Amino acid sequence: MSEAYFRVESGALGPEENFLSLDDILMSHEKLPVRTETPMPRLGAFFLERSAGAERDHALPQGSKLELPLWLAKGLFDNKRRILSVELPKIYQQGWRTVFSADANVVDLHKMGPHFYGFGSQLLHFDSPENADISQSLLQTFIGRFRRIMDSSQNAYNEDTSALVARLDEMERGLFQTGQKGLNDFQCWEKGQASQITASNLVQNYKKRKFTNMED
Amino acid sequence: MTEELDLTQQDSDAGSEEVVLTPAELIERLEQAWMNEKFAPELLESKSEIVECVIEQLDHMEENLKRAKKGDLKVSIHRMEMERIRYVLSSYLRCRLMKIEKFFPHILEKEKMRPEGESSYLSPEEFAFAKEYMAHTEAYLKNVALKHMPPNLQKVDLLRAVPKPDLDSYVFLRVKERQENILVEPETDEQRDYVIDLEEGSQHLIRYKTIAPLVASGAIQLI
Repeated sequence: MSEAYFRVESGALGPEENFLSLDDILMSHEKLPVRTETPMPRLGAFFLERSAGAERDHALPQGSKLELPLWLAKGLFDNKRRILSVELPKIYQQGWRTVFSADANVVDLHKMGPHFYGFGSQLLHFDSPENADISQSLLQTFIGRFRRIMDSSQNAYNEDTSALVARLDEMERGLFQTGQKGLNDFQCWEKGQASQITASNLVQNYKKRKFTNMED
Repeated sequence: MTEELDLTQQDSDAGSEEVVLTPAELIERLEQAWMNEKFAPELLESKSEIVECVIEQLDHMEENLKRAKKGDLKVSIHRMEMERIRYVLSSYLRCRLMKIEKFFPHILEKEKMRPEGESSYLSPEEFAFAKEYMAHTEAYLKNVALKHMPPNLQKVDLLRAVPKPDLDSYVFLRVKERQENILVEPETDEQRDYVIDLEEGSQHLIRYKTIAPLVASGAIQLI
């Protein structure tokens, strides 16, 4: 509440991502394996390695496999499935789901796509038959990992936390940072520094601009 | 504070209502409005009559303290009390402003759609602030990005772009008046709607959407 600037938070875990959220923009840029259901005229030039046997007008043949970013796949996906059919990435499939259910704490979620939860939640839009399992697996993974995140964020004061944060995905890192901020604020209050007036973090950056730039 | 303070004897008149409140009750109402506003995910009704009365009271107390003799302890204790009330009041107003800034297109839309009889969610100053904020944001987006885009992409629909307040978030509450037959909607597909009764004095954790009208009517206190 005492911050000068409120960023638009990610809506990826809800029904729809937020238009103005930077986290969501980064998240929806991750790629998704996709199969085209109809031939796409003249797009073969963009995907040269796929249209190896190209015809005159460089059409993309039906059934070719592509990797598209999530925002593009979502825009083109249609319930009657005329244009695309989406395959689930490996980490949301059965094999990895059993790994998560065995022990969620050991998995390096940052390597598995840094936006595991957000991307997985938005994947549910593609009406795959495994949607119920995917959502259960996401939820259980989070429940399994949450305790360690909360513990470590509340007890690591003034230390290097890179080892703790290395295996967390972006959403969990956000949680960790919130926990750290709460801890730091509390320690500040205990020391009596809470009533000191400090420069706002927006203003602290002003000094870095040269004076000539501000005259425009 | 105000019970033993014989410097202020007047009761405050609660503006548009005909109820007369003692200062202690007024402060309690302010604190309740403050807590409700802090924990509710959306902007609640504007309690401008409470705000005005509190400001009046603070002015009276300030005057009285100036007139009082320099008995150090009493004066400084009263000053501390005044500072605390001022903090609650400004925290309440700050919380409202933060919500206005966060949800401005939806709030302005709600104001436009509001039927004539209902009381406003925004005080006149807050309404002016919201309109200016919207105008500034639109002008900023236009000048920084939109005017450089191709002509058919130059509009951004702020109602869809700015996230709506999340009415499904869970809130803690304490029941002040007994309620019956609150319909709770299911969260997952396996559950079905069920009906609960709220006993007076009990505390619950429930989705905000279910009890939103009760907060507005004052039967429930968010904690």
